[in-house]
Amino acid sequence: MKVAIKYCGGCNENYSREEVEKVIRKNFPDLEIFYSKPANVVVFISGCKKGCAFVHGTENFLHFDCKRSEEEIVEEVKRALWREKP
Amino acid sequence: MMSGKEYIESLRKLKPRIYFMGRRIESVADDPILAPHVNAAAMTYELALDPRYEEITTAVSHLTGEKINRFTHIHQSTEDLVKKVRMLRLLGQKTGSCFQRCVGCDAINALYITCYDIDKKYGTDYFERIKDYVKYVQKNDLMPAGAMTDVKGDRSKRPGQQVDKDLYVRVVEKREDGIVVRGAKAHITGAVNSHEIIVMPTRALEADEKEFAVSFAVPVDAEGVTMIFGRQTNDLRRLDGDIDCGNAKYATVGGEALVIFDNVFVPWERVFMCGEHDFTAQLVEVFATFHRQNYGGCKVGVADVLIGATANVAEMQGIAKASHVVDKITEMIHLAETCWCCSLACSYEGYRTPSGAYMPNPLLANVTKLNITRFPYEWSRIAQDITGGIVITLPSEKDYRNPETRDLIEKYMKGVAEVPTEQRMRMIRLVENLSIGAELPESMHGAGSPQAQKIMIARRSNLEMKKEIAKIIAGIKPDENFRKIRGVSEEEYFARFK
Repeated sequence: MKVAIKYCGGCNENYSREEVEKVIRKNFPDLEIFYSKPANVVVFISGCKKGCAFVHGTENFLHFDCKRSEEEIVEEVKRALWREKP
Repeated sequence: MMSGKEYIESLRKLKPRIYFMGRRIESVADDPILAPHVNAAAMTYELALDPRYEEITTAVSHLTGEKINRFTHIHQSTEDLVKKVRMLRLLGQKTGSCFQRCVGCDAINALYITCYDIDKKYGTDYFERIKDYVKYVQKNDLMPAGAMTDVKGDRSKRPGQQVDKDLYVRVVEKREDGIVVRGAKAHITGAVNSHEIIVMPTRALEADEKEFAVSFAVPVDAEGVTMIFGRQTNDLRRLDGDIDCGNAKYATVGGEALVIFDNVFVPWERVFMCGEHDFTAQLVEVFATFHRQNYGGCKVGVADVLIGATANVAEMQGIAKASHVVDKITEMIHLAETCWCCSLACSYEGYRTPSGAYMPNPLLANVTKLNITRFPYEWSRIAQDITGGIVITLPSEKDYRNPETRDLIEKYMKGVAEVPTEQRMRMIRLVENLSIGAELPESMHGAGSPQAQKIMIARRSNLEMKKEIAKIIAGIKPDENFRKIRGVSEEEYFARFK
């Protein structure tokens, strides 16, 4: 399963955006994660509620725009991956 | 796009003539005085390659369709203007310093807008020249320095009235293949570690001052260009280790130079204005608007570092929970975010020019910069207040490294028990670096001194309209809306009280 991560620019982030990526990489080691290719799931990571990372019209996506617990992140990713299953 | 490392390598290929403290600089990339400034500029390259930041540090060129570093971009929307200030705040946070590259960005944007208008009036081909130049800058990911401020000599005299006319950069010869220029530009940020220099006139000029109405670009190592790098407070601390500088990696402000043009030849394809004096005011104003827009971005990023440093010092000294300290740090944040609001506002209120490029709202951009001539002094005052007198009395790194005094410093410069003394010293030095010395006058005069902003604010604020609305509210002039609301005139409505 391919997952693309798309960051906002991080001009004044309210939490550590990189933590989201770290949690995903740690909990889903089998996923193919990259930054700028077509993917099954797109994970938008915005540093604040302005949500600059988000691109409208994306099909299967997750959007993080505030600090979330590891459990919450894992749960959301699982749901997104489940949506992708045939 | 180049990486930070590739940018530093690219500087090694240039041979600019630079002097500092009575010696010629052999290698811009490696000289210990210049290297921190080089590192700060390198950050503008490095973050463009990082997926965590590329959303704001890159753009798509409207000229080539290629992905480019945002510093080489011609703004195509208000969102582009917003992304520029977001990028500047980010870079301020990552360097705690000036990263210098905005000046060239603002120069190409101001010229793009102005050259279009000159061509419309005079049928010249400056717009094609600046487009070609922008493509060249984008393709090679270059850093041009922007050079506007002339040395000016006797400020009571106009350029042509100076005893020595070279005190304003001017055209001394026109040839078939180009022009020859002479003069000097002062305070040129990042000039020594740029690839190119873009020269613009410093003020509005009259019909008899056409020789000074000149804009052009040359490589930093063009024949006849000499730079004398300016001194900064505490600059030689860079030779004494890495603690006393406070920010040894990225220095303080941009590193400014006096740039002298001694009969420098410029081919016509790099000339963007030559004698069109009636467009000098526009070029200066558009450039100033772009540059004043920036300061609520970069300076706020640097303020983020200072606020963090101050909060760290408070913790290291055991006063972080004191209510007045919490209040003062909150005040610092308030001041910084107010400036940020200004930069965002002038960007969102930006507009499309006839050239197709966008520029910020000039009134709000000038308000942004005028606040920056004041607020950094206040947030620096608070930082020094919280840090204490130690910010100017801390023992040196050399004494800390000296075995004879190290234990004494370790013991008596200790703050809270769990923080190593060296960490406290480093944080205090960072506060010193960011709140004393070059940082504050740079806030005052960079992008123009406060009076320049006041003039623009007065010119742009429509005082007549404010006087009119005051007369309506005071009952001196009729209020058309009052009649609609009450169904009778003001006279009829208030007659019953008389």
